[in-house]
Amino acid sequence: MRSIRSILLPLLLSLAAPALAEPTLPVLTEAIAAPYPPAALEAGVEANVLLQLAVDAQGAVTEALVVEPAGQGFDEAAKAAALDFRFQPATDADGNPAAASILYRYRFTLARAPIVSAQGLVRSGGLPLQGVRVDAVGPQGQRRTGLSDADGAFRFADLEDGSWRLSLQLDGYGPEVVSLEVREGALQDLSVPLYRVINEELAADDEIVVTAARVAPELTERVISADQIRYLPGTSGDVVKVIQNLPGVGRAPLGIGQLLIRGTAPEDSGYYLGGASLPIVFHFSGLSTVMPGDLLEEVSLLPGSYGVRYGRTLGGVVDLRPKLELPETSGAYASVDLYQAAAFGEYLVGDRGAFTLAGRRSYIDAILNPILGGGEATFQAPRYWDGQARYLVDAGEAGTFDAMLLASNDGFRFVGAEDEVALGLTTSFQKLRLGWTRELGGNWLSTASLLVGPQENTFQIAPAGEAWERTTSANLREELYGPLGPVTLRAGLDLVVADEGFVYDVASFGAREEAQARWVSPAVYVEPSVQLGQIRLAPGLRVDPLSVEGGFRSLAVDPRVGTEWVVGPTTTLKAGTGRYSAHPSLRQIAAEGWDQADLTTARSWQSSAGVTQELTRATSAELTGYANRLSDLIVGREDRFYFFTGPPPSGPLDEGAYANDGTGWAVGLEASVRVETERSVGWLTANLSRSTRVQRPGDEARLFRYDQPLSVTALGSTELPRGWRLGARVRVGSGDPYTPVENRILSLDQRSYLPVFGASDSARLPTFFAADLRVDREWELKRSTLTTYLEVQNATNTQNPEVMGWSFDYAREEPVTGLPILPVFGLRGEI
Amino acid sequence: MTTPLLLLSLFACADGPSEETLVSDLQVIATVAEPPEVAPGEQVSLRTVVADPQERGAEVLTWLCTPVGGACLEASQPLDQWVHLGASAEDSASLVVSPALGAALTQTDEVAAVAWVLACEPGLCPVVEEARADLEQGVLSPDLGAALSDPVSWMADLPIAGVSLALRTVPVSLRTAEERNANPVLRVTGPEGAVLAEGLESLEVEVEDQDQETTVYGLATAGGFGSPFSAVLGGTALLSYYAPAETVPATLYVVAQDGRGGTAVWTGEAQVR
Repeated sequence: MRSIRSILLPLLLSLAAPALAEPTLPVLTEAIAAPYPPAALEAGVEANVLLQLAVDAQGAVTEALVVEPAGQGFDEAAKAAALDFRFQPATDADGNPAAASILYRYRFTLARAPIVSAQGLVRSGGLPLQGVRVDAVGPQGQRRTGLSDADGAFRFADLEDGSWRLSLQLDGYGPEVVSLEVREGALQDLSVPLYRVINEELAADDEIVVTAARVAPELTERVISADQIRYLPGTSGDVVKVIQNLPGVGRAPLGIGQLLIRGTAPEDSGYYLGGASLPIVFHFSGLSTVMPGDLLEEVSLLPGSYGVRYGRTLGGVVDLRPKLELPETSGAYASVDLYQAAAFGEYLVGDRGAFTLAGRRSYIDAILNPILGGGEATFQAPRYWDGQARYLVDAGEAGTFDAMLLASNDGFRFVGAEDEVALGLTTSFQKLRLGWTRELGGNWLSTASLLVGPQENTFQIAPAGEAWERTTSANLREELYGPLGPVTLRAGLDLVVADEGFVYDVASFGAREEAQARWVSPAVYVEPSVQLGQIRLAPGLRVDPLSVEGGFRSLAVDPRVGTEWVVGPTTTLKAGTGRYSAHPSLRQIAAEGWDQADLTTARSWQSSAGVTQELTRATSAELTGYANRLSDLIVGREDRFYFFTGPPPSGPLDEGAYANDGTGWAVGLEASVRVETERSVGWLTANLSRSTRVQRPGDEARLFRYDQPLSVTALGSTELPRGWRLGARVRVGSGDPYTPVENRILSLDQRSYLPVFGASDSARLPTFFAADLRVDREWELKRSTLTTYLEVQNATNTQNPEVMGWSFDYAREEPVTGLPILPVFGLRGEI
Repeated sequence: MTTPLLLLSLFACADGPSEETLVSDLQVIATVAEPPEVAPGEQVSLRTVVADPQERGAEVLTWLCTPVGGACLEASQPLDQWVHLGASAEDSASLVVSPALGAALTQTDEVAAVAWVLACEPGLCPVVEEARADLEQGVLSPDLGAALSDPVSWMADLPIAGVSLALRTVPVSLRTAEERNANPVLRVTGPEGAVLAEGLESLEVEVEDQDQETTVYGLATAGGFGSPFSAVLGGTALLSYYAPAETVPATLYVVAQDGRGGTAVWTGEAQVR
């Protein structure tokens, strides 16, 4: 609470000013009608609320303080309305616009209580939106303005008969225009959905201009803002690792960064940066994402039944959405923790541009290599780095441009006595991203992006051989979104052109494989969506051809449809179904003979239905069921060398030729309760699922290697007084299936044992349990902020078997357990 | 952190006996083929050394089987020419490599016949009983034929303890006797008589081999060797034997292999005191 002195001083100064040089006070030019609190209206209560308003030199209200409260909802309503007032600015002694503070008394009288002739509800994702500005323009151009209340409701009284146009606007959401006919004062009832936008900002004429892409109104989209992520426990503040805690996402073995979405394999899910496909998102073992969260506005998880703008995947989608808003000020931070150091700087260039430079490097190698060195051979510990440079330009009506260079490099080596690399693995990429978002008029929006550059994986093992994969690709996307008659249309191009090559020449993995080819995949998609009363229906079609140099052709035609039904003020039902396809890889095509390859796209048919329910203003719940039918999965050649990011498969390998022989099912139920208040955020999620596969026709169905029948995650973080923040995460889940070893055979030639496996994936690891704690402390200094945190991962020091292993002779099971208790200390300084 | 920790553990080392060198249960130690390289249709002597630290006894079933189309190529021969049942710690079988392998050979080619050895405590392995019955009658039953061509199919049903199944290849070529590989000759100077409990003993190994690319492997029924294998340099190698803390008799084995089928095995006894 401010002291009375701090409230009155600016007021007294502003009142004293005219006596000195005749400056002027702000003059109210546009008042917003506050919604009458329904309970007070019903009870016939009137009230006055005295506000102190801070008005800046542009005439906008930057702060509204309640000086004399009235309670019963009047204070909040008056304050919210006043923040949207517009003033002719105050002037100083030289006649220049100047900031000033004034007192304003907002009167709620029954005489002003409206006789409602039109009312509506505004929602996003089924939840009510408060503070939506509703501008109504009448048949003679008359204007009325209103705001939605805490229930998302807005009302207009005494509208003249005729056609009215209502424009709905709220920061962070796309504008929406609806029409209504008023006849003889009859009540018109509306329900209007608003969809999130990444960024919008006020232009000089006080019109809200959308300057960034509207995010797809996906049916099951789980979004976490980058700001929330930093403090969540158990994730070290990493943007994508947080996703692993959301409904629909399984627990990755050994805490690595794999995303197991709705019973599908990690490679079945796609990672995107603003819609363009990213080669990798995690550094080694999932320690951190390849770009800092501060470059991102939000991270979106689409676990299934998503729209046609995403393709070439059988599982889910994770889209990292870049921040497209100019920072308010220049700033920078540096941070260090147990294994990495990072720096981030953001500089305003004029009032239309911002330049960002960021980088990060791990230093496990710097600590371990001197310790491990000195012998005949040296193991060089893993190291990674990434860097980003970005320039963002707000070009007004021409839209928003951004250019970003991003690079990432991971590697480790085992160096022999002669300084030769005995064992080495690297993975890297360098990409240029260009983005351009602009409004075309008629409420149409264009979003274009290009992600271009090389990526490479290399593996060396002396003297057995080497393996590498190199791809230079360009992903061009252009999407148009806007109204077309009664429908809202989304249409786009998703073009990938690539020059891809590989060599796999590792002695113990069979014959050398080598191929090099160019390929192109020009996908197009269209998704008209219509609003039928309370129901939104969004059918779509994606056509995705693949043409590979050498003669291979493949075509995916994927119809999908989604629907959303706003059942009541707090309840929304959602459902969707559709086909998803993934083309064969270059290696699969090359192995089976280019134009002779009898391979086609692998497919999944995803269906889901769910309900979102608002329980309180701060609490919402969601329940979703899904079924994913997988067909034409490409199987075979499991004995070959592969770059992989997880534990190697156990069990007998399928050494047959590649073929579209695999099928499978993944079904499940996801439940979550989410609480979000001003100071706290938390959620409880539970996933029930079953995922099975049939490797070849005639084989018995077996559990998928990542099948997790049950996983429960509870996660929360709350802000405490004096700069403290406390968080905790608890996870319980089924262990992964594995193939047991029933006996062994001694190879006398190799002097090693060969396992005799039992039925595939017929055994299961023990139940997983882990608790993580996190405490943050923030110090506000003069021009900077210092934050420290201590995160204790696996605080109960539970020995969780995560991957099954065996003794050298397969006589005993020796599971690989996850990390023991691990305290991670971090420090971050920000200016 | 997981990957670095896992990788570190791969390269970690410690003093003391290697777990891989301790033989605590019935185990096939080595099978020496004489000659180590044969021609199609030629007889080969397969001498198998079996460790039986539990002293429960063992039956040793040896057979040649080059699987083709779900059957053994050797099955066209009389049963006792490709299947042998014995019962001793050092069992010898004289079997005949299938002459049909010659069809796949030219003068420069080499193919491999597969020799299987199953050491089994009496009564644990049904396939041994089937083989005994068939050998007595001199007729191969379909069940035994199928079992011998696909040992993996029944190994999953057997216990790990008291059962040891091993395989080795026998190179088959048309080379002359002079051109063929020969078994290495192995001489070991080891602990004579008693060794001290928890003591460290050295075994000097001399190997004569025409290729001079031999590797030696140390195994023991008590205690263990410092390293599972050692390369032979200049015809000699030094193996470190760690005696156990208990005062028990120990059988030591040293196996030399040239990587081309040539094998030699040495067995020694030591009393730990």
